[in-house]
Amino acid sequence: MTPREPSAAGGGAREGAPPPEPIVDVRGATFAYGASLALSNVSFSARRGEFVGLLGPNGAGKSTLIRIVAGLAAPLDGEVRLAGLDPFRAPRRQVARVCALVPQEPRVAWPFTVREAVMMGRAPRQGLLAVADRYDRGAVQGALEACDLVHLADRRLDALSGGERRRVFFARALAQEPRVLLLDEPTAFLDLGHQVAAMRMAQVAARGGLSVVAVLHDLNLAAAACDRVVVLSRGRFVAEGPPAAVLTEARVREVWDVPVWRGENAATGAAVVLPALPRS
Amino acid sequence: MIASRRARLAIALAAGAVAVALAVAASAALGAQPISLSAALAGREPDAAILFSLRLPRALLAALVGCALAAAGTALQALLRNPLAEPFVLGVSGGAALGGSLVLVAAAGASRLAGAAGELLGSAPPVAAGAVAGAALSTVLVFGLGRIGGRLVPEAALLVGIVFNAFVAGVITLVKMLVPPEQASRLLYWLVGAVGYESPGTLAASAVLVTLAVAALVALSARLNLLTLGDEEAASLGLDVRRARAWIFFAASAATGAAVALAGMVGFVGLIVPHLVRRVVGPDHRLLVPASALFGAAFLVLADALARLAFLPLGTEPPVGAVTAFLGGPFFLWLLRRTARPEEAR
Amino acid sequence: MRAVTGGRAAALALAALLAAPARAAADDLRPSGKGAAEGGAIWVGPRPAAPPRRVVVLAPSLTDVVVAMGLADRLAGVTRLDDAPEVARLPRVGGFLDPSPEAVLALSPDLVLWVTDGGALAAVRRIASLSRASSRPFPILAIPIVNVADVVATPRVVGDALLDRAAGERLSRALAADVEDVRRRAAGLARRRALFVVGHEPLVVAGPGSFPDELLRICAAENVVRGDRPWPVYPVEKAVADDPDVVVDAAPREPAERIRRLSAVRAVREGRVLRLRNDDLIRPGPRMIRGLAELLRGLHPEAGR
Repeated sequence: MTPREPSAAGGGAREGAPPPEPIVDVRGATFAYGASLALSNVSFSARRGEFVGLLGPNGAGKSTLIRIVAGLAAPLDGEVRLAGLDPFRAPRRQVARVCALVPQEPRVAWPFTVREAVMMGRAPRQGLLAVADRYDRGAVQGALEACDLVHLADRRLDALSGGERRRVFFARALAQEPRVLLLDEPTAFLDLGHQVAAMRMAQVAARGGLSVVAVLHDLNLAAAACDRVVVLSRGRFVAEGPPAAVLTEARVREVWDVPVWRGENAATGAAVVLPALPRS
Repeated sequence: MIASRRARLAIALAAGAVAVALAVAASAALGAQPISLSAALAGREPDAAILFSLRLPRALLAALVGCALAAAGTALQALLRNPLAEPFVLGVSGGAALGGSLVLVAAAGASRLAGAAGELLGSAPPVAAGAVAGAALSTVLVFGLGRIGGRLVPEAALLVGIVFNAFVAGVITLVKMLVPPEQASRLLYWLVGAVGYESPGTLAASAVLVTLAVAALVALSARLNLLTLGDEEAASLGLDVRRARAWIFFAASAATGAAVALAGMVGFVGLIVPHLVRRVVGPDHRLLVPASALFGAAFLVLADALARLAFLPLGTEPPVGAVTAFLGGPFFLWLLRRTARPEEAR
Repeated sequence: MRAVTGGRAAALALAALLAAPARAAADDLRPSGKGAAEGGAIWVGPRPAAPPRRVVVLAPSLTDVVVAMGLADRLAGVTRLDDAPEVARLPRVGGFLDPSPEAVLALSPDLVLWVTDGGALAAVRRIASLSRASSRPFPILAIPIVNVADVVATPRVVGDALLDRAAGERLSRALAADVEDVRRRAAGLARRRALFVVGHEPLVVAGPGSFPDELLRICAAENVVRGDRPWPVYPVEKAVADDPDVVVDAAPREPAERIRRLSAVRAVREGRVLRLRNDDLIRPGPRMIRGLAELLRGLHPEAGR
């Protein structure tokens, strides 16, 4: 990636058609668990309204990268900006107003109701005792509607199915009214219908103006839904760009170390990648 | 639903206040010695002395201790994200008792060198300060050692607490040999947990401390809600997890320390009460903390009355810690079976 | 102190089951139900033929008896609770409740004296069986002391054992005379109702069946505590309702101001507290009798000397 000027004021005053400012901007992120290097000098960005997929085999550092973007794990080296904010310097409340994270495995230790859980997304905008005002209630209602949860609003989380819970946590992130939405494997453990629904919600969020960054394992879902993908391997940046350009047969075979058949969806033009298992 | 939160809070607080009032009334009315309320109010002896000098102060003491322990239990359960957490089970009460005992030993040593200094060190405020410090240190210890691979493992923390309790019991037994016999009884008190009679000054000071600690926990209750989600989720929702947790540690330790300084290691109040209250008011700590505090007060007042009355035919009275342990031990096991599936915390 | 409790009986039965070879000894040491004054003392093992010179005493009150008889030089070991100056240099063999068989044996005694009561039965039974098994078996004399008459009779029993009958007889007579003197002076005095406090936190008092209960009666006083427990943990409000004429503070090792915890009791508020300077009254030997006169003076200042 080419170096860019910092996204501070003045960036828009350059000559020519200025590219829209990146909302998520990661530069040279490096991270290690103990002695093993998990990420090495990785940079990527996501703009307003863009849905970016983070791809790569297990151990590529995708989840680490998303935790760094969320400000939850401080990189050894490198910089992160979320709408100009340094998530490791700015107060957590301020970061949470800009950036929401939907965790990979939404665990439920305490049996809150759906509405209570979604209301917690308003926490970064509420006072000490988190008393909800009319605007908070409106935002929660909107998030419940967007995620088709209105009929479940008063159910307890521990009475929901896995897919329903996932929607609750997505709704909570929407209720945060962030500018950046981070999704850690939003389709894991879901059946095909729920996978498509989850990707659809992410797409809709991006069309609504959010920067959406998602860790994804399913290359076809990524190819179908993402505007751009970033491929990592063993903690290193490999490629970046529109899915059709990035997910070539040679690259998939090299990065994932499997032979694949690479085709194209005739209806949408999206890349299709199928593993080539030997018939035996 | 949301609009009714305020209504639910009002109902829960009113119900709690009524429960405290009824418990105090029952505790004041019942006892080893039948008394006449009208005679007591008319100032006739011994009824007046029994009601005003004994039963009411004792009920107030029990209420303070119960309130502090239940509020602390509620907070610790949220921090550990496990309904089995409780000041006694987690060893926080044990740490408080140990802190207090060490101050007493130091006082005994000091009084050998400089009598007056030792006396001063052995009085209630330094001992209570030792208890609060002991509670805070053991909280940090238990939550620190309960981490495996950087992640808090509730079962590990509970085990650490149980082992720490056994350690504390051993140390206090040893320490008992080092202090004059008149203070040994106080150490014994700490191990069993008993509500007795304190001077009005001690009661007032403790009331202030407990009120402050519980008020702090109420103020932190929205943060407790976030912490039940786990550290990273809480952080991604805008919580400064370390700072919030430090404050909660401190407030819960102060409450526990005050309770232990007053009445020793009264167990399981912080387990039984928050659990039952949660079944009624739900998991929102903004309701749960104040409601648990009130019902905890009512619970311990009644438990103390029960302790005083149950053994009346034998002409003696057991410490209240025996009653709460009698109720709480089986309750803990029942809860353990129920929560065998970690996803559930009803 | 007096009653053999159910728990004791159960412990005894259990111990008998567990220690079948020691059964004979267990039977020997079983309390006869008779006090020392009624000939209830029990010998285990051969009675001494010559005057014993290495006597180990397992109860401070018996040490006091031996010392008062002028035979302190016969003692070889005492408990760690003993504080008589005459035995300050003697080896210690554990406490009243937890004598150490090992320490006793190490002193190779020729007589062991024991007050039947106390939680020490199992340990004493072990001492007995060790004695039987040793090359030089020594006798154990178990003396049940449960009331003032037993206290008065004990020197006679100890004198018999030490083969100095005259000294025992002398001391028993002197003690009997002292008790008689107190009884005589107390006769005709108005009885005062008293609460005898031995522990403050929790409140532990002397009840029926305890020594202080009988001592109060001798001193023209009446114990306000009823029931069937010698040392009950007493509800403070019962103490308030009992409204004793005087509170005896018999916890000399606790600070004097500790009694103010009982200020709901009128006698305490009004300063009618008799604070004892020592624990003589719960040491059932010569000290108890000596303390009796002091108790009478404290309870009835009008009785004079």
